[in-house]
Amino acid sequence: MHRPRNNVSLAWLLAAASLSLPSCRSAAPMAEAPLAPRTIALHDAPTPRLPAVESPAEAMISDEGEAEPASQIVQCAAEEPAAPELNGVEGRIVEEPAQAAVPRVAIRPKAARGCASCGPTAAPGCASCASCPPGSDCADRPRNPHEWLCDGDDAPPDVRLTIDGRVEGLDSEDTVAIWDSDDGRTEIVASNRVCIYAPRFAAVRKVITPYEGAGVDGSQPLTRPEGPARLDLLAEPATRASKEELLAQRLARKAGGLEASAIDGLLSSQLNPEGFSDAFLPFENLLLLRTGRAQANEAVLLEAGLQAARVWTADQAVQVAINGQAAIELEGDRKVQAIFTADPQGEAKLRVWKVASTDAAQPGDEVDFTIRFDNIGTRVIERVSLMDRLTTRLDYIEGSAQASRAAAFSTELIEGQTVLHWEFDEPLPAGQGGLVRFKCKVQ
Amino acid sequence: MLGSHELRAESPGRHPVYNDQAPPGAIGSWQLRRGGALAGYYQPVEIKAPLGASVSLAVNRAFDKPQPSPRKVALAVGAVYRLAVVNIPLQEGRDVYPTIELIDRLYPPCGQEARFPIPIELTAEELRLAYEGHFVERVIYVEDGNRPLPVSFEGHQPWFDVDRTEDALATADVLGRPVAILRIGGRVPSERETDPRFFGSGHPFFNLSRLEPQRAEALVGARGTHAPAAK
Repeated sequence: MHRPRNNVSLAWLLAAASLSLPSCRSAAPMAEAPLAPRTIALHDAPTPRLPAVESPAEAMISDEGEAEPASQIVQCAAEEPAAPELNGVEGRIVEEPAQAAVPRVAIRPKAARGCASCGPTAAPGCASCASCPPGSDCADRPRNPHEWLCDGDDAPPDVRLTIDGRVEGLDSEDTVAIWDSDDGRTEIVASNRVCIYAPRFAAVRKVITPYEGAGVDGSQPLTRPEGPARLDLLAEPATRASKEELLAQRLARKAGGLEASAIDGLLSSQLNPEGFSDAFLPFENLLLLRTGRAQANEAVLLEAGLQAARVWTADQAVQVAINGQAAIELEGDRKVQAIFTADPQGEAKLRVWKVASTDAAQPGDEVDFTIRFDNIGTRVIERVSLMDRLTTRLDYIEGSAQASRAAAFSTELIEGQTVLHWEFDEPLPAGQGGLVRFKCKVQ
Repeated sequence: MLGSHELRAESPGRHPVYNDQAPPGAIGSWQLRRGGALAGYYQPVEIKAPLGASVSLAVNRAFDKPQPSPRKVALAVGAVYRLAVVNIPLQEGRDVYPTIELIDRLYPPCGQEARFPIPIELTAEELRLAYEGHFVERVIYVEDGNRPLPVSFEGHQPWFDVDRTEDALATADVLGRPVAILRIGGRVPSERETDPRFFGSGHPFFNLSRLEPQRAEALVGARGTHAPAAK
């Protein structure tokens, strides 16, 4: 699979960088311009004279300058904002050539990886548990995976983008969405995992001849002993599967129940300061932080910042404001390394859900799949592409793919498995989403 | 996978615990001794014979009335059932008496037990081999869902032949999870068969063929985890 390169213009990036923080840029020349317009502000850093941004972040700051509890909503792990682990398993950085100004980043967030964390062990008040789609991992995961046919999620090795835009790691059953934020980042998010009970049987046969050289001409007809041994248990059972359950399964074939989705982007940016997903934040542009090597030209900046940080008190720390907004504290303000950032434009997040029309199917049955994707962030998402590599036992039915938004659809056969690919033409504004549907035949 | 507290040195081509040469019922009883949700469970099974043939099952040292194929019944896990395949097309007068031993069960969603029976196929070729004096052992397994074969199974059940020196159970255990063993031989009962072992382990069975699907689901669902109360 190949994904076209990002076409974010360098001019746009330079303009964004110059608007974000002129002071920092002058103090620490950046070899690689940060993509996100987030800013660094130590306590004595001059507040940029930029117009106040009408942002939900402002509404969360009280007159006393202390951040109020934004909400009592408890989020499930499945709905938590993306927390990038750039050096861990979840995150991957695709290195650009040294002279490139725009590092391409493919981040696999922890969020939207199904509802495995929901269920009895979910936190009290977890609202998302009730909204887990039918047929997902919310239900009892089969104790015998042999009998189940699953599709969705991103099994290791994770899906990643190469420098030239190729998609690698799209294994059997993987379903991912790749999208660009308006600041040039490229991210990958996996759907939840949908399982269908569809056991398939085969046999191993061994034929032996008990006595070599001996043969049986044929068995003789005989009168078989017959008796009243037949068991026809026609008695009414003590309990009976209600027909209502069967009707409910038919209704589950439509994914209409998923059309209403909650937007959590406004809250999540406040409740989870670790929810950013940038590859390189401005403060990371210091080589001391990025590589651990102290450079002479950074000494002044570091000394000024650390000395200033030591005189902070707890009361003063929360009064840091950047661009007219309260900054988000990244680390404890009682430490000298306290660093604040502000994100005046919010963040971009995409959530992908996948559901199936049934939870059980026989070979030869047709199953409908629906994938819903929502922009649950506060920024526009561009160039959304959905990819679903079907397992060998699912045959895509030609002509059954549909999309609620304008998209270019294509299929590709890789090692006997069909890869479905939707490339959406239009940007996806915050709070909006789309649906794709397709049919498969169970083999 | 089949497993046990008993351990045996592994050798290539052999099952580490069981042996496909074990007598009928041995593996099933070993499986039951492992515990779990096997004892008393009646697993739906669909017995498919060549078109036109009829199938009857033995219980209480006698066979019930033959019914046309395919025949759907619920059999006890761990038990051995003797079948009689009669009216085989082009082989009238030649009856074959295979046995079925269930060594594991399925775990379908609640209420759909009868919708997913274990298919037991009796092919014309295997029946012919049986009354020619050969012994056919067929280990039916659930395919590993993570490693499915890229072929269509629709309408038939594929099989793999193994050499007589190999262990069919071990091979099936590699490819998936063995659930049943079908043994087809040339032995026929005498008119006054006195050996009770010929008729299997004597467990009763549920006849699901003539039940409506909803009733079959309810029957198996209600009684699936324990033995039937009455014969």
